[in-house]
Amino acid sequence: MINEKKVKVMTKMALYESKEGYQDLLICEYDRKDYISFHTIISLLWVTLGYLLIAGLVAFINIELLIAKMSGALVIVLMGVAVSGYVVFLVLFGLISVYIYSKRYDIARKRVKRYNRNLTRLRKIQDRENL
Amino acid sequence: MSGIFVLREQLQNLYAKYSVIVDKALQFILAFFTFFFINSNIGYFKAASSSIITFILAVICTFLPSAFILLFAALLILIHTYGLSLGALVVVAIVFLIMFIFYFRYTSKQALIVLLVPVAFFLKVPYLIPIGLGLAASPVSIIPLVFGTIIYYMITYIKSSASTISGLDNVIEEMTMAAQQIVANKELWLMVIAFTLCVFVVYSLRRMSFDHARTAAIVTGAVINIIVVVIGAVAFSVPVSYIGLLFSNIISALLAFVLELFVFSVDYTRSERLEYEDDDYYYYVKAIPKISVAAPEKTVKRINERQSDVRREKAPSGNPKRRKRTVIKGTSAPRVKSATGTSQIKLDDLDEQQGREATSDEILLKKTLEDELNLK
Repeated sequence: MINEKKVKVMTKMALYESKEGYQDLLICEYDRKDYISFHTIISLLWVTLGYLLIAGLVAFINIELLIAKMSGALVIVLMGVAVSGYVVFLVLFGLISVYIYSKRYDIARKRVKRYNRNLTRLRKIQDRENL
Repeated sequence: MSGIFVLREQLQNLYAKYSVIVDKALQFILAFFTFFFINSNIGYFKAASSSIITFILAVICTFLPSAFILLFAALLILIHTYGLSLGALVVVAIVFLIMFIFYFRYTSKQALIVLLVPVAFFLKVPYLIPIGLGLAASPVSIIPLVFGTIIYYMITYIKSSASTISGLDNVIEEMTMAAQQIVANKELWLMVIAFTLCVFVVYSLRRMSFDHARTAAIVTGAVINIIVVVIGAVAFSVPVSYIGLLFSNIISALLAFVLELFVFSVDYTRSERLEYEDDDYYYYVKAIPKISVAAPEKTVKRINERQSDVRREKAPSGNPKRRKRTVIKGTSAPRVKSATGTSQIKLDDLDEQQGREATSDEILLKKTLEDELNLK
């Protein structure tokens, strides 16, 4: 005979597994600190690429002006601006990444805890059925 | 107004039952419009611009997650740009890559906004998107909104400058020209500023606690759009059709009201189909959310004179027509009174003495009894 209580718990769990479950369980395989630092480092590498692309695009837009006014002093100034801009980008996106990934980890952890509670309930129901 | 609420709840109920079909239909429509917009504007790569390709791509995207529409749209734009010039392709690819690195790598949940912006421009109601986002989303949605606006103006630039770009000698010149024209487009930045301000204003107003805050937010959002675009057009000499701007904002505000009534203020919970098993059974479950559709508000017309708390007493002798009214106190149960061969249950007594109004069930019961006992 079908146990209604068991079906309800199993439905809840299947619903979770079909949506965020898979991703959450992957996230929770990491330790919190490892997860956040790993993804922040990856983000900073991507940001470096993004910054190079933006700098390249800006250089292309102003290429005629740059060629016309090219001098040693200008090159030093531009390098200084580029490096400080890069540092600002790194700090900004580093902070954003830490915030996003720590929040993502905390939410996933909370959902996985709820999922584990449901697993315990399901096991108890099954134990009662087997008695 | 109650009719609208009932219709809204019926829609909600309908969506809960057929959410899979509705979702797929909407996804198909969005994908079709997006690909049609791209192909009709910059269809330089002939093999990819036919209506059959548009349809097939839309069908494929219907059965994939919605973020794939954005991916396919980006690929289609790149293919068509390649059909025009290699230099333009490099610039467009860099713009897409920057968008991916700084936003979509973190979240793809709001990817659809990027697609909705060009479609809204195509349908001549671009101002609907910032007003809608202000009503339904957070200020973070400004980022995909800006990206969508950039993509729209990039497509219009490629369309309008096709002959100029293809006439250039080398790739470097093409790249420089395309990058300069896309970034130096004043109308693009004017729209970005107007949309950003609109989202902030609508979002701030709709969160306030005064009456009709959301209505005020919609109207103010439309006004902000008009003011910013007019000031920007005058200050930066951007050619703008003022009548078009006015009508577009009016239509956008009206559509925002409709969306507010039928989409944003309703929780469209979808039904789910699940499959799982235990030791004894395979389960195929369809989970439908519980939604109660309220009965329309009924107006009960009182035909009999209220006699609940009044007893007519015989008038003093000498004037048989005059009767004295006396208030009865302490009656606790509905009474049945014999009148012209029929019985009448008096619910009014019960309601008033319990100090509450009759519920909708009681009103309906009373009306049914009145009808059945021919008390009209």
